[in-house]
Amino acid sequence: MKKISFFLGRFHHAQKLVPIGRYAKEHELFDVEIVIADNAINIDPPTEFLSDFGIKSFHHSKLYQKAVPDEDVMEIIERVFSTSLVRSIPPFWLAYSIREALENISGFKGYIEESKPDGIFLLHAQNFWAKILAYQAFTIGLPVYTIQEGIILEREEQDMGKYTWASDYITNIFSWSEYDRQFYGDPDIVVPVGPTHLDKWIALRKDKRKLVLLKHKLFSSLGLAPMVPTLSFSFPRLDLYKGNPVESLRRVGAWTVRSGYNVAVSLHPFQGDVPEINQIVRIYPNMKLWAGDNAMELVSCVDAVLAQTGTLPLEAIALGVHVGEVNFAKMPLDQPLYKQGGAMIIEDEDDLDKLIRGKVDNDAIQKFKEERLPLTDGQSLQRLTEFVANA
Amino acid sequence: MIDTLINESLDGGVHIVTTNSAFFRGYSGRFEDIYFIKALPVSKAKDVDFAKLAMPGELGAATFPDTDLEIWKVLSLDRYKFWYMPEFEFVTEFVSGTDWDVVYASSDLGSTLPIMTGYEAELLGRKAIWVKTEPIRTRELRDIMMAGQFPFNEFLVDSEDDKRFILDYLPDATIHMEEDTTERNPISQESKEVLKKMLGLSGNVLCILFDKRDEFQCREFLNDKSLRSGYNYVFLHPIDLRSRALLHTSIPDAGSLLLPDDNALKIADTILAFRWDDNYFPDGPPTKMQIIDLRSMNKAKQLAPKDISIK
Repeated sequence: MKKISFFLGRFHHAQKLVPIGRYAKEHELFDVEIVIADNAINIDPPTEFLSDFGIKSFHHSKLYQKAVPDEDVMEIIERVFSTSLVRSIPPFWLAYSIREALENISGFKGYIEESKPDGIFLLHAQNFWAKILAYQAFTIGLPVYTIQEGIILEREEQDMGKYTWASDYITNIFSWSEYDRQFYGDPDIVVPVGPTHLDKWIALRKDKRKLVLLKHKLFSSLGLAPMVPTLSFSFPRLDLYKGNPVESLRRVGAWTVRSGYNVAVSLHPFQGDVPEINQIVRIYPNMKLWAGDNAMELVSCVDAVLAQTGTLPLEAIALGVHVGEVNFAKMPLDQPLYKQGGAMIIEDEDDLDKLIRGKVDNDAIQKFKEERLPLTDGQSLQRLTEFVANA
Repeated sequence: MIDTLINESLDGGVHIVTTNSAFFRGYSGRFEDIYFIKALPVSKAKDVDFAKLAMPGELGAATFPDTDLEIWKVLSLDRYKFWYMPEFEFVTEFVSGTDWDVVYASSDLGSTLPIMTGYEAELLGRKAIWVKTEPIRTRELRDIMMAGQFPFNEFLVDSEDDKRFILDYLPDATIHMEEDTTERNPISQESKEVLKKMLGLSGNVLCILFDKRDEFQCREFLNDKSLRSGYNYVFLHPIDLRSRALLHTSIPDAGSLLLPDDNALKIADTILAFRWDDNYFPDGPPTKMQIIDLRSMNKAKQLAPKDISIK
């Protein structure tokens, strides 16, 4: 049986990739091995979350790396420090990253030579370590697979060419839909399979009993009455939010008092603790802050999602949950879903009323789903793993 | 460093420039001319600007040695972009626009301000002194010096080890020595034995410094029983809160290898680490210390004091 090596760099890598590996093993499609690397200065190393996923056995790039010649480091430092980068990037990171890159170049090469996997699976290759591993594998003819992590933002392609060079050293990219193929630098390597990380939640949403039990557990733990209609207010990274997040939260909080409905607030996983948000949430008895690991758990349970930009609104639509795109400040939004029919615009409290009561354009949403999210039948894992097994 | 600035101010004017808000708040009453450079809000043009600068931008098509992997593809997105702070670019303009004769720069590689003052001083033909406020003997400073990219040639340090280190890479450097006022108080063997007895221990004790950066090396060491022979007890001492939090998920049975407070350090006959870091023991190690530096990854031989054993 083939052996595919999965690189798990950060927690969200494991969230998306572990289900793929598990499915493959359970259905005996291919064998799975885990490889990790130290995480820069190890503020949040992989070993910390591997146990959460029940992973005890793994390979570490350090085990295989050779000593890095000083001359190699110096050559690159000379180049980097002679650029304008020194004006805007701390010298520690300029220098440290060079030696670390060289360590992983030999480390990943050594790992591949010793362990001899039949392929490599990455979350994506736009990552310091993953790019190196992809290069080392691809250049010796090993297949390298990645998945579409989330919404494709056209701005990221325009500003940085992010998806053009996402195809570098990659054999196949498993996308969410045929629609998403167009954005990648090499569309021929794109294989639409659907969002694999949502299979579990799609199945859950179909199981009414399990869903009711989860809702009860989740809302009760928050101190919200489970049978009361509930919105989630799921913020993107606050520096990307259009408008004043605190003001927006106040308006929604005041609405919960007037309407009697509930709101569970969630922050972006990379956001960290925000005292200002905590303070506002505490004011309103029907508004609570949810701090779970997987936002899909919350999205699966609510009646509708308030969001703005990012992948989460798309995931909510995939799960059949109505989405309201918050824009109290009436600013131009990045790739607004409401203009594409997938969501409704939320500019005032009347819009919140409509959203919670399900007064949305179901035809437009259905059309959006057919074009952008056609492969949300809960079989994405099967499609992906069978492709890899038979490749 | 503050003392140096106060002494200088007796001879002439002193301007202080900082990007550290805590420093500014703490010292703005003591110095007349203290300028705080606050970070500006990040603009959406940041992605575009960074791409022009580094994707590939000024990094061009250079590749890593013995590969055709372009360096920008690894270094730029995710790493350099994460640390890209265009709001500090105007630091250079501020520094070059003000009237000064000598700059004392804090030995902080975590900020662009100190090193940029050095580059500006070079350009303007003015005097610049790198002052030890953070550890001098680091792998990163060594790399920058060796590559000939460090703009300072005059230093203010407080140890012979620092002086030796600098002169190894910059033989023509001018080194000013501040008096080393740290009190070194190694723990006596008698005190150790008393404490061991109180803890119900006896024999040879090894204390391993658990630093999150060397988590891999530590796990490998603990897995290899042959490396621990010769010791009756092995304990772990996490060097900070983050390392302590990591320890319990990284190493099974970590709880049984911990002692309360700093007792592991106090009773240790040997302290083992996997790198040298000046911050470990500002007053010097309390007992014999050994460093195991796997494949010389952490350059312990070049950074550690002479009396530390390195393997």
